[in-house]
Amino acid sequence: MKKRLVITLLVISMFVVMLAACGNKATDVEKEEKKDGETVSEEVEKETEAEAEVEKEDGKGEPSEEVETVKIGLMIALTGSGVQAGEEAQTLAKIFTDIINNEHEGVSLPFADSAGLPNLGGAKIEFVVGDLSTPDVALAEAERLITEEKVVGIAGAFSSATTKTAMVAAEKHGVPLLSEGTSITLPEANYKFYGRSLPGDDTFVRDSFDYLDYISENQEPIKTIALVSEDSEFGINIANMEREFAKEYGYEVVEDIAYSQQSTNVTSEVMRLKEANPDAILMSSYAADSLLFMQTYKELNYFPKLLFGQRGGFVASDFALNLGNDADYVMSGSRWNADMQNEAAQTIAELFKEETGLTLLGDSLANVWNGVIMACIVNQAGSTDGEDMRQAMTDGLDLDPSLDPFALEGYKYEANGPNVYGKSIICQYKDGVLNTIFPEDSASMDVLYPAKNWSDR
Amino acid sequence: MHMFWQVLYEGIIMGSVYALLAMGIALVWGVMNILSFAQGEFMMIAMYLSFYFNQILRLDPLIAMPFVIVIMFFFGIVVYKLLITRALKGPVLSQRLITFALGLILVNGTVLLAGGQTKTIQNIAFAGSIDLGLIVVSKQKLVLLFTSLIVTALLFWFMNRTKPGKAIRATAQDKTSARLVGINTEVAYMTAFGISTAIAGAGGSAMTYYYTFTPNIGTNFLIFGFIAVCLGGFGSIGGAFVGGLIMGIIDLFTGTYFAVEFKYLAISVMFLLILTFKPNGIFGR
Repeated sequence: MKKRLVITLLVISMFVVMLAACGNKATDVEKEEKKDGETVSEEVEKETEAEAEVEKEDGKGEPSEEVETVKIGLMIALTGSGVQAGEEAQTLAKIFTDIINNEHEGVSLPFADSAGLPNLGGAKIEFVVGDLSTPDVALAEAERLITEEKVVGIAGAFSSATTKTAMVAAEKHGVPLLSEGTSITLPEANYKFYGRSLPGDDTFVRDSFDYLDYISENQEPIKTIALVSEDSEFGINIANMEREFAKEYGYEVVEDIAYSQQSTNVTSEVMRLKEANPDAILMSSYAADSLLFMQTYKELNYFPKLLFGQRGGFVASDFALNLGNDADYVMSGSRWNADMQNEAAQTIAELFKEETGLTLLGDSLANVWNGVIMACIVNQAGSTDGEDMRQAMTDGLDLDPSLDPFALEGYKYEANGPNVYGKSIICQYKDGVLNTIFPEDSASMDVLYPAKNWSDR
Repeated sequence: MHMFWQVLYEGIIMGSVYALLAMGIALVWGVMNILSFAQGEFMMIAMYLSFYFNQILRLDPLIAMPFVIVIMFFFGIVVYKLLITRALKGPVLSQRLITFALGLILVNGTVLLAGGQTKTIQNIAFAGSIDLGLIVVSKQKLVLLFTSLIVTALLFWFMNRTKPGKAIRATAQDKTSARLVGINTEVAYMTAFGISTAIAGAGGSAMTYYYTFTPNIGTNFLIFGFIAVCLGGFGSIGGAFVGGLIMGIIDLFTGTYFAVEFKYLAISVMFLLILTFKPNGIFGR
């Protein structure tokens, strides 16, 4: 019995000594690392960089001639409220893939006159779909697209929140990502591989106040405004800018509402607006909540002289589809509209209508157009290497403006992301259709102002 | 003063919507101790059924409502037979999660079959508003209110005046004793689950009168349905109705007279207070 007890005690003491030794060893390693001024994360970073170098040598930086297929990530929502936009994006991607990969005579879109990307020996492009339903899903999917699918760049229907998480993977692997997330916080983050082809919130919001000034000078003046914004990053950032611009432009804010986009009713919001009775309401909403607001405006027989949507739900295809003529008088900033007088715009709008029966909207086009721009970047870089592609973005793309549905002067990305040539337009619904009203040289109709109340329509 | 009455009216309307959802949850919880996380999705399915009745057969949602109720009742019975009976034999966690998983399947299945586009029924029999001076009454919302009142009244009648209703109540009170007096508790469970999905059917049909919808609409309402059940009293149908009304009124008054940002905060504070001082809810025993 005594013997057993002694053996047990010996075994236990051996374990204790071993554990203590391990603990000391770990502490010693930490001490050594700290002495060298490095941390474990720095070591991991170094390893990642080394892996990236190996990857480059393994083929990512291969000469252009050897590339057969260039894979571009197309991230869209596969679940949740963005599913419809995702379906539209996939249809557009199918159309653009066909145009880029095959010869199409007389089509005014990039790469239509050649089969594949000419600077990469006619390499075909392929859009690989990833999910970005939520920010954490976007991160995991961006990582998968880069490491498993080997995409050379990523585009898609990013919000500002999903851009931020996907950029973690893009920066880590040195893969360019083009996003139309409009938050001012994105360029402020100074990502290296981030680009935004079209305007950001700051441009859109300033343009909307310029337009209020323009309409006040030429028609019935606007003095008071109300701000209505959903309470996620999209709405909050816009509302912050609107408050600043309201001061700068001299408009009195008589109501300022932040609401949840998942609200089951917005009756109290509309009753507050009705009570405040502003000349103009500026709204930043997503699809479902913008429809709920319109329904409630009608039900309570209230409509302001001017309702200006800051894109989002107001330019989604669901808006006019569900409201029909009830959408009339609503204005919105936009990046693009189907009535813009340019051949590339008309061509893609017609192809999309043939395929889906739906009217193509600016936001849907912008998300996939960035995929086409990514193809232009790879082609111009003549390489699938991220650094070379980033350099091509900074140098500016050699894209014929007549082949650009957005009719921008060019695509030249600043070091922190935005395209220096990004610009916006202003549209208004009439007979359930979105028409360009500003700038005047792009306008297809005169503005309808002041808006009629429901009972007078 | 006009605004006060308008707010009160809108609060009651909103409360009646929450109540429609809450009653189904309360019934299933009260009888078989299962939290129906799929109740919002059952309502969503009913909205799509009403939509397709309208698109294909040109039926107004109110005309389609009895058909939707019957379809949803049998759908509930199938769900009960295929899933719930098995879950009831398993651990408590699987009983809780089975309806959650079903909800996910219903949402994503609807996305696959019907697409993610927002849907609306535009050609409805009652549209527009009536200005009564003191308040503006939306005809679409009246449909919601009356549906809620009729469903509540019918449910009370069924549970208190009919044999199957009494059998369900007896089973809810004591399953073993109910069996001893000859009640088929299995049928009672099945009927209760079928009725809860039928209530979602009535609610969904009525809601197409006012709401545009996507496959995700149920999720937004579900949390309010649960809070209404907790407020009113777990398992109490009348409590669920009153809980829904309380929430609707708090929602509208806080949002209109204080700040929109506080309306859900106010509901949550009220929820916490009631659960602290009356843990079983207002009408819970």
